Amino acid sequence: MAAFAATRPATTGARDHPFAGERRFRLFAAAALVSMQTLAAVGLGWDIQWHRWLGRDSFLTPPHLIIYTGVVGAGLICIAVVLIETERYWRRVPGVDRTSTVSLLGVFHAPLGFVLAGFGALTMALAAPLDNYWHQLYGVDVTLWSPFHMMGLIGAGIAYLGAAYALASELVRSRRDGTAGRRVMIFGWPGIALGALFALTAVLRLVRVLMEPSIETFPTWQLGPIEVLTSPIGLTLAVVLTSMAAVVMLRKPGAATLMTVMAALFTATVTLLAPIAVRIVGDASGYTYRLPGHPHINWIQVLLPFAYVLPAIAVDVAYLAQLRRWHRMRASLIAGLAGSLPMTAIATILTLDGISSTQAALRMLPASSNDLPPQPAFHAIALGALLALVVGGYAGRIGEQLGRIWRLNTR
Amino acid sequence: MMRRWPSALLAVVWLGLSGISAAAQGPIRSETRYAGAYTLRIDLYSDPAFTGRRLTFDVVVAAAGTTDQLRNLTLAAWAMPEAGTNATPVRASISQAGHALGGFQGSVTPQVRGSYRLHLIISGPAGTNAVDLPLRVAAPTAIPIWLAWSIGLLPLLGLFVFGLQQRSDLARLQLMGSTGEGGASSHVVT
Repeated sequence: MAAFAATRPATTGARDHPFAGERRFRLFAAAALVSMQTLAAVGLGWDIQWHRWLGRDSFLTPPHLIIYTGVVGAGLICIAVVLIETERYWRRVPGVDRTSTVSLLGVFHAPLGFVLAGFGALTMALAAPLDNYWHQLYGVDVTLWSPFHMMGLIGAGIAYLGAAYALASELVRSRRDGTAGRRVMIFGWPGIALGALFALTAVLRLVRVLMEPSIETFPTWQLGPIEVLTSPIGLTLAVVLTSMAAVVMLRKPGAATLMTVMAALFTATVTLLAPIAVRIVGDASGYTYRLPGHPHINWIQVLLPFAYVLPAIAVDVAYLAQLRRWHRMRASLIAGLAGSLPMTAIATILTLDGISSTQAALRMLPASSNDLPPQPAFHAIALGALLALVVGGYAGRIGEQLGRIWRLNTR
Repeated sequence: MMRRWPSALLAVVWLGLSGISAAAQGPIRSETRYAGAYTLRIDLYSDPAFTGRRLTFDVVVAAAGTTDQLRNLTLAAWAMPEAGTNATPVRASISQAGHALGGFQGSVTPQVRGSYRLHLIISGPAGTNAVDLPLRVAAPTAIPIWLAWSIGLLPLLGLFVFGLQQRSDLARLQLMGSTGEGGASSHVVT
């Protein structure tokens, strides 16, 4: 079988469907939205390396320009879709009605995904000047876990969820009218299903970035007298939730695994190229590097995202195996636990290794001994692992519900 | 209503004139530094400087010997953060000031509040030398940390409400799906 098959539509295919024009428009808009969000994600990967090696000598650095081009582009696409769909709704265009749009303030009518992604982009745009203000006050090395970084990242999460909603709803409609995979089929996967999976990878990639401080600089949280290792909790939540949503949305063996492979390939590519891009621009512009040496590829960081494939395989296998024997709730809980076991182990190892790496990196800088993060105590690791298992089980349940919404929602 | 127009116009004119006069007034601070055979008079147009705003300055170079030493002069400048200021060096943009020998105009935009030094490197026939001028960079008033976190995490509340709404929507979708999507629930055993 050919890996990539662009097939002619059959007589009842998308081209002949009464809503074909509307469907094509939404698919095109969703693809443009995901492209803009991907551009912003590339900019974010570059920006992290830029901060590390060059700092921040102005607001409009090249990575920031890429991020905000993506954010503004995504926002404009959402505004355009909401306005066009509203006009079509009131004009009673076939395919634009209450079953395919949500109402906003009683006036606007648009697909839920674009409304959600628009709010996400707006949140990110609002966070940008506030984040600049925070940097002006507290310096270039403000941690990722600062108020307005968090605001921007939550906005990105909302926008990514919106893109997943937009593509999932089109997938449902195409599955119902039998046009899914009629035009593009790759290794037996309909193109639109792969698009929806790729949109979902953004959520996983975002949480991975969000949890970076927990691996390097803030390994534990102090909750009163209790110390907890944090990275297993956050990473398990992200991997299990997105894996479960993927497998339930498509109900196809390997969906979760494929989703994490796509996320890993994207992250690995950005991680591979970002230091090279920093070095090219840094050398050409005569910047002084903040760390000794020149920006270089960190192969462990490049290969690390592939570690998240293991928990996804566990989720895939456990869910599909259990679903045939038990009911949905138990299947999702067991799959969640199955995914959280390897993820907890991986996250714990990553944190311990991350602290060692950070210590090694900080030792190269003068007078940095006060900044070294402490090695977490055994009870913190054990409690973190235990909580990660609980969170994994719950994330399995929530992911299953999210996947079911994406499997059914046409709006 | 109409009577308010003249006073509003007057206010606008007054604001405009005050802006012009502020721009036209001389430097806020002048300092002299000696760099080998060169003497530099540095005029700052803002003191303290403000984060995110351009700090403009003039540099007039005089030579101890002949004016030949002022030909082919080059000047480079950076705002260098002092210890305790978490910032990266910012390069200033420098241009020749008119046709006068030894005259330069520069500007630099610091990004973080704190202590800096304006580091100037002058190169010419009399050699290359560097001088430093302390700078202070102010920032807007800091809002309380709790308020910043409240604003930053506000979208999370929206996301939570959306999640609850979606959860309640799931039953309706499930009902519609079981009637509209044949085979979709073939694996479901609930």
